Parts: sequence; C-alpha cells; structure tokens
Amino acid sequence: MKQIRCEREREVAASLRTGLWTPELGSHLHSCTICAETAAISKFLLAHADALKQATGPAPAGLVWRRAQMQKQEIALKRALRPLLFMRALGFACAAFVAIWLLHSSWSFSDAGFAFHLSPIPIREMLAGTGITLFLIAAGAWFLRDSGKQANSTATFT
Amino acid sequence: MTVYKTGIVAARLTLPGEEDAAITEQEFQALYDATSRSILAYLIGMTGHRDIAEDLLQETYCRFLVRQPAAMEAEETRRYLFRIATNLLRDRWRKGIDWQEPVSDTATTSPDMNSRIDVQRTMQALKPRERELLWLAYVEGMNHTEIAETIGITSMSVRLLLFRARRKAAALLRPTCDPERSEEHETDSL
Repeated sequence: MKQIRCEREREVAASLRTGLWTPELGSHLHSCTICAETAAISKFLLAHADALKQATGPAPAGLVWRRAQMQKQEIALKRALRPLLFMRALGFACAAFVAIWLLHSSWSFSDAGFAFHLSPIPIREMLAGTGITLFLIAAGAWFLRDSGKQANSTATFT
Repeated sequence: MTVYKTGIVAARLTLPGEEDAAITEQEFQALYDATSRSILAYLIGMTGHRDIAEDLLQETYCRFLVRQPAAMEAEETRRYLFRIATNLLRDRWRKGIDWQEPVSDTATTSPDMNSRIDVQRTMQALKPRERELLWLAYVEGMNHTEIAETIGITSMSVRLLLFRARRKAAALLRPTCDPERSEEHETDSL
C-alpha cells in the first residue's frame, strides 16, 4: 500500500508560507515525493492567492456593517410580526366559525321558524347584531392585513 | 490573545440604555480588516469570479453578524468565517453553478499570461471540494481537524480526499501527465 501522507508535509507547507527553510527540510524535500508535490502545489496556490490579495480589495467594512444591520432589522421585524400573524389567522378562523354558525342558524330558522332556540330574540335585533359582528370581523381582518403590509414595506425600505 | 465580543457576552454585559449592538462597528472593522482579504481571495479562488466572490464575502459577514456566536478567539473566528463562506459556496454548487471563466478584472491578477492560463486550467479541472481542501490546507495552513470542521466532513475523509486532490493537482501542474489516469492509478493503489 502506498503512503498517502508524510509527517513533514505540514512543515513544508508552513515553511513555504513563512519563507523559513531549514537545510534539513530542504534535503527532505528532495527525497520525499509527497513533500515535493506539496511544495509544488503550495507554491502555485500561494502565488495565486498573493496575486488575488494584492489585486483585489474587499468592499468597505461600513457597507457590510450597514447591510448586516438591515438584515438584523428585517429579522427582528419578522419576529415582532409573528403574534400579529397569529392573531390574523385566529381572526379568520373565528370569522369562518361564525359564518358556519350563522348558516346553521339560518337553516334552523327557515326550517322551524321562531320555534327553535332563536325564537326569543326579535328578528330585527338578531339581524342588527349579526351585521355589527360581521362588520367588526371584517374591520379587524382588514386592519391586521393592512398593518402586515405596512410592516413588510417598512422592512423592504429599511 | 484577541477575543472578539459577540452576542452572548454582550447580552450579559449590556445594561439598559447602553448600546445594544453585540459587536461594535469598530470591533467589526478590526475583524474585517484582519480577515476579509484572505476570505475574498479564497472565494475568488473557488468561484473564479470576482463579482460573485464579493457578494459571497458580504453575505458571509452579514451572516456572521446576524448569528452572533459566542465569544471566540481571533483564529476561531477566522475559521468560523471560512466555514460560513464554504457553506455559501456549497449552496451555489448545489444549484449547479461551478467555476466560471474569470472576467477581465480577475484576468489581470496574475503577473503573466502563462501562469494565468495555468491557474485557470488547474482550478477549473479540480472539483469544488478538491479546490477547497487544497486551499484551506496549503494557503490557509489549516490542519485536518480544522479543515474537517470548516467543510463539514470527518478528519479521516479529509486525509484521503486531500491526498487525492494533491495527486490530481500535481498531475495537472505537470502538463505532460494526464490527471485522470494518475487519479485512477492512485485509487487502485489504495
């Protein structure tokens, strides 16, 4: 089985990075195929990396900092909106429940007239109450939807 | 020993009314100045494209600032940044985007035409993971454990994969030798 690693491989790579060579390491390099390969690749990659580091400058730190702050704000805003989103979902669930209940009640009303459980309530008051309830549900849903939209647009803007 | 202050420490130290940022802009500036060039070179080396590397570099630091890991030593922070950068590269490669031909600005990075062609040919011929391994081992000087931590594989795998990558790269740097044949030969010999 062929040897896949030399114990001095890292030492060779480190010497190439720092430029600190010992004569002993130099003679080892001539006798070890693995270290010779390591040296060839290290030289090649280090030259490439040095050229890249000299030729290219990263974007200013301030720019990256501001971008990160924006991302942070966006995440914070999303977290803050979670309860509102939950309330909205709850609101829709309640609206659906009320709608089903109303349908069921109206069905019972049409079948049995005033004889069933709605009979003690005068029809005018019942309709007024239903109208107000529906209006409030719709207004609440609209408000939640609008506030969600505003929050999203604020997050995009910031 | 430099220790960069991050989230958990800051959360304990910060009093109401004080600045709530986990790492201050000045601290970030120092960290960025110390590490960004190496990471940018790594990203260009891996993607072959300066613009893409710039975007990935910014995203790397943004993720670092957003996550705010516990206080780390400078060297550990550097490795953590390399890890984020490597994960971003992997996301890119998963989408099927690999090495791209350098545009004119990166073409001027090498001193002469021959070495530029060598760089392009060699890096393009290597697999993304091979490029990562060689770079982290020979340019950044990481040991097998550190590379394993950065790339997300075991130390034993690093050892074997690095050996294969080294043989392949060595063959590529010798124009007369066919890297595929050399690789097959080495795999057989294992």
